[in-house]
Amino acid sequence: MMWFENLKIALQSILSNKLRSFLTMLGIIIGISSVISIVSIGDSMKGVMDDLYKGFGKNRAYIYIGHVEDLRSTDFFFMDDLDLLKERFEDKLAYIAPSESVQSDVTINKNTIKLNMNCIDANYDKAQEIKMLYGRMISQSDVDRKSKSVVLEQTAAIRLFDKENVVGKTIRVKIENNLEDLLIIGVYKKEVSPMLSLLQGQSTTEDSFVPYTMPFPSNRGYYGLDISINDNYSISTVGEELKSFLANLKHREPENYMFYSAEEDQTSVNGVLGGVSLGVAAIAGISLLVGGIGIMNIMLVSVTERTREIGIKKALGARTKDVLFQFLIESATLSAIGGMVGTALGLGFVMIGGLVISIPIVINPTSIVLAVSFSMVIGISFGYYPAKKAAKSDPIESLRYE
Amino acid sequence: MISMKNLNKIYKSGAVEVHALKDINLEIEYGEFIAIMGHSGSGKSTLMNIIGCLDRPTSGQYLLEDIELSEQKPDELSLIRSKKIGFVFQSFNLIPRTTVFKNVELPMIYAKIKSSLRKQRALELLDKVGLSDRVTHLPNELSGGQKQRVAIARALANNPPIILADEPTGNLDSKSSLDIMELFINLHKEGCSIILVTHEPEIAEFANRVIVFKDGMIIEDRKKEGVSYDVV
Repeated sequence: MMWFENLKIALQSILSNKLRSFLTMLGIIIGISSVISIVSIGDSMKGVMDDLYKGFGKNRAYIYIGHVEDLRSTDFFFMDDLDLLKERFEDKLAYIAPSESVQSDVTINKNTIKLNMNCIDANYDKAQEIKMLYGRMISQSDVDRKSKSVVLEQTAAIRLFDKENVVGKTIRVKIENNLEDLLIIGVYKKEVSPMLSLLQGQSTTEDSFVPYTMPFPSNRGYYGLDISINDNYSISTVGEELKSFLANLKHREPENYMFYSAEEDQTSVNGVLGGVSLGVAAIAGISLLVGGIGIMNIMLVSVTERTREIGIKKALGARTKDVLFQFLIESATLSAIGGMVGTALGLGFVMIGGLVISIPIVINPTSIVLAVSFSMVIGISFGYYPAKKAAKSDPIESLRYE
Repeated sequence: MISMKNLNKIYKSGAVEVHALKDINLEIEYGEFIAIMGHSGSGKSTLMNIIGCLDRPTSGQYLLEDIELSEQKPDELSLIRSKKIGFVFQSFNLIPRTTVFKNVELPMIYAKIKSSLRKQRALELLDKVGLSDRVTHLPNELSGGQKQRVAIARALANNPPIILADEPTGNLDSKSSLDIMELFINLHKEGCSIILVTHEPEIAEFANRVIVFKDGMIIEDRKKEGVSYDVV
């Protein structure tokens, strides 16, 4: 009951001096809003990065020939090597194919685009989810027959034919100086996060898929392999195994092969992002400290100003702890309100920012609870000394105070 | 009700000792209306502070309703003040920026009285002092006389056995002073014990016992019989 009465008294005192209360809260407001926005920006960036890597396929990795001083023709990856890898790593690899693509100009009527043809195996969907709009994806029979077929990305179809469903039409492309007519067997839609498209800008090259066996002669050696690792295996462990297997096979050292995985990359990027936002949040946290000192300052002024009031209250039967609580609750309320306003402001900034650069905003409820409770802790700890001073005062002295 | 035996109060400020009260022996009964008179520095304010449990004697015995008060801790004294003493001050001492109603309610909050009861009692008291139409006003919206009536209503909140009034008419014009004194007289008739500090003989005239202080000692203690309460 006393708590509630004290809270009412505290609110009354805060409201009866609006400008001063606001100025006192300003430090806390600025501190909390910066901490909230920074944490939120960090979380949102993390979300954007997650999105980015999801687009790439989270179990995706590349293995390729690194720095070798005397590069030999046998160093490249051949179909036999691929078969060996498939056999040896059957459980661990969901997908493996040469990492290769071919670029060519394509012209239909007056529309010309640059087309990037990614060479893939039939089970590419194991490596990355593909959303088909029309027709079908590259099949095992396409790969086996080295069929001259292509699966176009939606925007490529629109830019070439001014429509989406172009299954059954052919396009003429140049592969290794030969002109080839490719049959469009499907149209898919690439899922691109808004942030990724923002980073890439307006791309001039359009994407498509072709069977990896089609563009090149079957005895060609490849520089790198595109792989996807099954969920149950550690990506880095499989990477090490692949490197030593290849080293053994090609009489090289494991160090001669480079393994790059999206996951490891993402972990390190997230680590850097987390570190940076923690650092900036810590700096913003200093303004909370300054805000706390502001509260202490005002509470000290307030106690002195209300010396007489404290004396009267004591004469009317207020105990030490009644006065202590009154001032503690006042400073805690002051900073909690500051914390709430700061939170609202911080969220507002982040939301407006998110709208402007159109990225999805991640708001962590824990950070809000933490911010408001932290500001209350600041209010209580910085309000304690002034409150104690008020509570200990001698009623006779206080009553005499002018 | 109040019993003081060989009570002394000595203030120390640096090396100087001020003997504010010297060997006071005083008995006060229920239902008395006492005026304490004396020049400033005579010790009357010190006595009021001790009676009001705002201060403790240096030596001697002070019994209030048979409770020994010389050795109590500050919070115990707060409790006694809350239950047994109603203060009325010269400068009114209402809590600023707080409504008349809240001012009267405050001592009952400290005495932990239930909200519904507090509300009822505060309104009753404000009606008694003739301010039922000023309940939601702030102190700075009231005249001096009205402020003092709020203070009296507040002093009566916990129905204390003693009302301590320190120069209650000191800041008031003569008309308001008479109004306030009339209130005190009525309270006394209802059975309240009132102890009033004043240096105005005409105010002291309303009391039925006058105690005069000089240099920390009682130099006169005179009871009057059949005091006339005719207020002009």
